[in-house]
Amino acid sequence: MMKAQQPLVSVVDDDESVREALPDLIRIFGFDVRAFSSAAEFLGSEWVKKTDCLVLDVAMPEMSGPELQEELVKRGETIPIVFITAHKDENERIPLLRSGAVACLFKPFSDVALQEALDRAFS
Amino acid sequence: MTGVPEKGSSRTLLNDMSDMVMVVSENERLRRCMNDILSITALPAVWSGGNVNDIGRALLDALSAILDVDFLLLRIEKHGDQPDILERLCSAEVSNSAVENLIATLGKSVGDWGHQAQMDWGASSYRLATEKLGVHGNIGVLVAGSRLPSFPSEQDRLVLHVAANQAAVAINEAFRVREDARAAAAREHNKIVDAIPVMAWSTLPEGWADFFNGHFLTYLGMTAEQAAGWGWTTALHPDDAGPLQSVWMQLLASGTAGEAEARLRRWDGEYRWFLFRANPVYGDDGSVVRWYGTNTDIDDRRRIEEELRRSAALMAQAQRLTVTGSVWWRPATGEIFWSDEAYRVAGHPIGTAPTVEMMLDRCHPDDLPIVAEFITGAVRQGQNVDLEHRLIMPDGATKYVHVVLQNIGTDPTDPEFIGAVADITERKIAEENLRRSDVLLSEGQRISRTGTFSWKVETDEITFSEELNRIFGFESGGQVDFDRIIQRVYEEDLPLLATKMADVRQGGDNPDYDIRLFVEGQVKHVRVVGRIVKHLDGTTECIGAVQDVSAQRIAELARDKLRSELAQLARVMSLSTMAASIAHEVNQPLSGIIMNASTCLRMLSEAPPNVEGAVETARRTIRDGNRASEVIVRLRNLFKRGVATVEPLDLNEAIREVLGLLATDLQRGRIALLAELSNPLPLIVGDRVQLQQVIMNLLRNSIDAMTEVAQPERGILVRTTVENGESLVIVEDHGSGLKTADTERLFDAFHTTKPNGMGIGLSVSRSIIEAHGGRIWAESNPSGGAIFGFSLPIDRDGSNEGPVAEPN
Repeated sequence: MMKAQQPLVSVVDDDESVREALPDLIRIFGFDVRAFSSAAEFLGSEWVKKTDCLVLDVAMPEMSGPELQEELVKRGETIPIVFITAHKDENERIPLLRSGAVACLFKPFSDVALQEALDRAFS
Repeated sequence: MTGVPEKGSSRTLLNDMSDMVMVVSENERLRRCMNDILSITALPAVWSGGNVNDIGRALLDALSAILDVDFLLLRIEKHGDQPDILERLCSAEVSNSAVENLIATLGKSVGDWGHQAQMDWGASSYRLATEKLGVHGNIGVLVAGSRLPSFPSEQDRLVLHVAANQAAVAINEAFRVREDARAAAAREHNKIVDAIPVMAWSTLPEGWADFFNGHFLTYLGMTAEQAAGWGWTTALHPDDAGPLQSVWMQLLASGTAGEAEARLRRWDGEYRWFLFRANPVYGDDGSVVRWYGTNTDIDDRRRIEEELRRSAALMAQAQRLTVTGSVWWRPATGEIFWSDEAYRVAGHPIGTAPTVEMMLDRCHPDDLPIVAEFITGAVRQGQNVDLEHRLIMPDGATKYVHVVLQNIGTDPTDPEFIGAVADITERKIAEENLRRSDVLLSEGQRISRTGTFSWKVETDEITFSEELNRIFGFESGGQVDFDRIIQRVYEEDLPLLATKMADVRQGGDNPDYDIRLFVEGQVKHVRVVGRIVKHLDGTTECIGAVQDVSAQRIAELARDKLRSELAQLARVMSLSTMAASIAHEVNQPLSGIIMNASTCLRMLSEAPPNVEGAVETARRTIRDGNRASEVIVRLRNLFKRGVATVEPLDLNEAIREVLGLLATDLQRGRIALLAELSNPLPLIVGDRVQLQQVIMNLLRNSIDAMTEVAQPERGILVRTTVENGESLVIVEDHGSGLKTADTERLFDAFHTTKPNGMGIGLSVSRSIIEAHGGRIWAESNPSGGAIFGFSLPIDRDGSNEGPVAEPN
């Protein structure tokens, strides 16, 4: 039943403007979208199991993006993750990719770069 | 009638025959009577110049020859004394005792004697004839007695009467002459007593003064009546009256001669010293009948004695104070006199007989030859001595003495020296110390490059020390005046010099100021301090010091340059570390813009175009654009200023802006920041950007320190408070804490505890805070971590004249 529907992309970012803008764009790509303002909100929701791809901000208060990634690993969840970050720091990006992230995008990124990353997640 | 003179017997015969020879003519009797009276009246020629007794005897002699009487009696009253009684016995029957009996019968008072009387005595009866001499017999009485019943005849009476008158005149004259002689003698005596230049006096045995000579009375300004008795003692000096009286009482009691000194008040009120001398005069029974005395004016002597005593005391005191003894020496006789102080200087007991050996045996061995040479010269040639040499005292101490001997003798072979020996040890030591401190001073001036000057303000007389001449490039010892000084002063600083000089002329000190000189093609920076000294003579002197601080100033300039370079470097560093947060701040709205714009485009290119969604995304694009713009404005504020700007500012506001910029860093470090900002906080004056840099530095350090440790609670507390007229900003964290106990070192440049740090942030922070007149510190947080804080003075008057910050 679920597969009949469009794949779900969950966005976790503490920046409200991201939570507003990103879902609209992803929906245009043909995905279903849920937005969460923090890692805790996401983990506490019913949507963890239903999420097919996670677009995750790196720097957040409380639990950061990589910490959420670790938590999911702990729980046995293998959701592909696309990290987005405003810190253009290659030193941060490499460990993220090594830990199994599909992509790591530096804000601001183009709609094309996002589409490619999502395509990679679902390939 | 045996023993009756022949004349008498012829007269008796005549009387016996009188009755019978009545024929004897009356003429014969009268003629005889006239002769008798004539011979009596001739008596005064004999008496002239004679004394009273001679007169009396001559009278009685003459009468006994004339009258036929048995006795004659002449009593002469004297002035004040017993009357003289002269008698002449003309008959053998009459004895002396009869006359005495007669006198007893007549009574003591002449006035009682009757003119005529009869006296029975033994078997005979005598008829008496009495004539008084002078009025009421005040000169005397003449009495004649005869057993003849016819006595006295009229002729007898006449003869007696004339004789009494003659005698009265003569005796009176004799008395007068005698009185005159006595008066003259008294006058002569008084003249002598008054003329002798001492005060003479006499008193009764019990001390009652009954005589003062004129000199005494004139001195006292008293009359004899006023001075009599004890009246004169009122002129005694109150201090001397008691002692004098006790001496006088002793003399009176002992009856021996004596003397005492006392002051007597002269008529004009001045007291003078007198020597009172009293001598007793004894009577036959050995008791004192009178005291005679003199007072001799010894005031001048006393004064001289007093002055002598005083000048001797002064001399001794002066010698004591100046440690100078007097010496008198006559080599020929070996006589030497030392004053007490001379003994003290030489260290010999006072009173020891001084010898040349004593003079030499204290002498320092090294000085002995020269001293001996001088002494020899003095003894042999009478040469004067003037030398300084050392003494070794018994306790081993060295004394310096200055010996001067002056030959005052007239005979070259017998010199006589007077002189002085002065202990000049203290002077020598002082000279040595002065010399040493002079050396130290000039050396100190040279090393510290500090010169000193004196400026006599009234006369513009200026003295420069050696070092000051060197600083000004003046030749040593040359004349210094303001023209020459002004030539050396850097032109731009001349008004400053003029102001400072005017301050001094108005009596004000010159607290230190810096001024530039131009000396030999070089600019010199000097620091000047001047102090006013008011002298007792009313003149003013400005004494000061000038330090050449050129080297210091060059070092300061280099330091300032380095500091500003460091500040620049720190700014670059902090920019690079802030780049990330800036990127984050800008990228956040930027990604929103791009995402919204992309979405908008895609919505519009759908078929049919989702216009409603496109409008919404476009609106979001604009909003995010505005957000980005705000971030840019904030960043521009941080970077646009190159020059320090001083303005009144609210520290709380500055902190809030920094917190805004650091929000992301805090978020990323998951650090809870608590701000306790005092409200209201007085304005301070400073450069907003520089101070924000400091705040950012402290916060960033705290953030870094927190990320280094795994703390369950990561919190930073930012507080602002007001304390002692200062605004305080305090940042507390619970991070890794201070890794050194020496918190001051934290603020040194290049001191760092961070692996990637350069140790510049805190040093720049300190220079910024200090440039704002504040201070910065660090301490350990008792609950773990560190506390950094800084204080800034509050802008009290609200003016913009705060400290100028110029670390750039």
